[in-house]
Amino acid sequence: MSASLIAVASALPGEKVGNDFFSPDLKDTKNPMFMGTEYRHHMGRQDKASDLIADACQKLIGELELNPETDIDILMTNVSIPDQPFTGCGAVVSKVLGAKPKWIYDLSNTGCVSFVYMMDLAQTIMMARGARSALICCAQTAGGRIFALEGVKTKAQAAIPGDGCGVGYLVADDRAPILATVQQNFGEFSEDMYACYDDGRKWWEPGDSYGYIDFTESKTVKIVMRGNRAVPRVVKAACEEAGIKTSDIDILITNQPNTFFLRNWREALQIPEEKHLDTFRQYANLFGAGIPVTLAEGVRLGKIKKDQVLCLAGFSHACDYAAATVLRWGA
Amino acid sequence: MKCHHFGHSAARNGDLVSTIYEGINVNINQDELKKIEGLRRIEVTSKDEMGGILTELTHAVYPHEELYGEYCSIQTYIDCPPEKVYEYMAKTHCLEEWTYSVRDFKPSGIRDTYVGVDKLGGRTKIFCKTVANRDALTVDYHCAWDQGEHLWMIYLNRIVPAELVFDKPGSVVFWQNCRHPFYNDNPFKDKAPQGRPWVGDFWDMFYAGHWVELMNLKAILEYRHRNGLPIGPCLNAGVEE
Repeated sequence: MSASLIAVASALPGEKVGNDFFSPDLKDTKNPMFMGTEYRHHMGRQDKASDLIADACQKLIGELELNPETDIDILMTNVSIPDQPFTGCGAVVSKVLGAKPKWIYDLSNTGCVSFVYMMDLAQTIMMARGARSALICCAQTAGGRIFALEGVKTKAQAAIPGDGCGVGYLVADDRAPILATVQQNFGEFSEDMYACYDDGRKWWEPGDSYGYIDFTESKTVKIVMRGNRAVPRVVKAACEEAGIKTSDIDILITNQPNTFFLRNWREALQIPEEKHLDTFRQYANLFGAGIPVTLAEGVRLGKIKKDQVLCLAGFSHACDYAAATVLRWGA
Repeated sequence: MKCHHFGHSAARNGDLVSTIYEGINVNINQDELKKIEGLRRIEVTSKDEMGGILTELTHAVYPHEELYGEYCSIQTYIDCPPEKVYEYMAKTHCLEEWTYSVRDFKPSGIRDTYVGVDKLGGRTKIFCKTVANRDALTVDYHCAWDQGEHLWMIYLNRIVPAELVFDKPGSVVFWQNCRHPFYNDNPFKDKAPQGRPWVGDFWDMFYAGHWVELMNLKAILEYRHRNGLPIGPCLNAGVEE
């Protein structure tokens, strides 16, 4: 028995934010690394990730006419900058939805590729414990919560993160089977991305300086090269396991850190641009939400059709995780 | 500011080496360089911008055409001293050993030029003049199919002591070709044997073909050096029939 991803939905916080929100220099920045986005959305100060997730889930529940009390066995979330430390937001989401899941998990790892990890985990729980359905939810909140802050929005990279949420609904049957999923974990790269404060304090310590996410500078080039290699490699591995060729992929959706990774991955896989969907220009880098938001957008716009072979893939952080899943779209 | 040009000083062995201007203050004329459009120098291109430009230029893969469309550059390490590699490569007859299909060199009657057969093209004549420079450790083969008056297929080779670049004994050989327009259109069609395919039609396989031949060169030189044999080429001298 397989698990089938049968529906996806997305939600975006607030109004779209244009490039003029950032440093005046950004408009004419010459650095191609920070080009390619026109808009993004930002979490407002009062916005909660749990509400954003619930918004997206309500769309799914409405579309599939689900009974939240009986049709959600598993609820899983991944939120980049969570509403609360300690508690996660899965339980809050279940409260807002009126759901009674038997399993709730809040994942804090696998960032940009967490949707694929959650699909696999949901399938595992279905097979091991007899769960029939799963709601998996990715919310990216670092745009408004970090990169829109006064002391951070002047940084050249501040325009790149955008906030949003993508959710998927899986059922335990073969109507839209997951053909293969491959996960690759690289612990050796796990500390190359970190929260950073200019005054050197720890993220839990009080202080005046603004915090942001940074990469080990001397490793930036290596991280780019890792990313260049990691996604094509894991896509090929998943295709091999599924018994298909990469040329059999009808639609590829990856995480979307910048336009170069998108270009390099499809070049390496020899997948034409029209088969590689992204929402980078309008929503920027959505981190873990990127894959499900783009998938939902592709379905909404009719770019993804029944029985097409989809590949969802990406890497996270400084390439500590990479994963790809191949599935037959059934909706 | 006026732009002065300073000459080079010649070292004792005839090499041109960089000049040290003792006792005078010499600066690059930034103003003159600023007039040249498109330069990427730290004075006008910030490190941040440069980082982005480099990222844009860095792909995960490169199409064959982009890498080998106009130039065919290959290189390898050879475990054999540079002077021996030079001695070997500078003798035109060595091509009969390490190339895939060039054979039977004889004097062509044209000055400094041999004529042989490139069996890749059946009984195609190949003319070859070797231009070598012992000081520079360069060995260039100026060749052409079918005629020896205009040698336009030029194989440029540079031997570099591996001691300098890899901190180990041996040599690095850089081999380069440029896609001369004659590869695309043979101007000496009347000299070509009937029905023989044109060498330029194989350009897209030059990388592969040259690579195989470079591996031949490496294998021959490493074998002879490792076993203390004469470096070659091993010629059977005899009276011409």
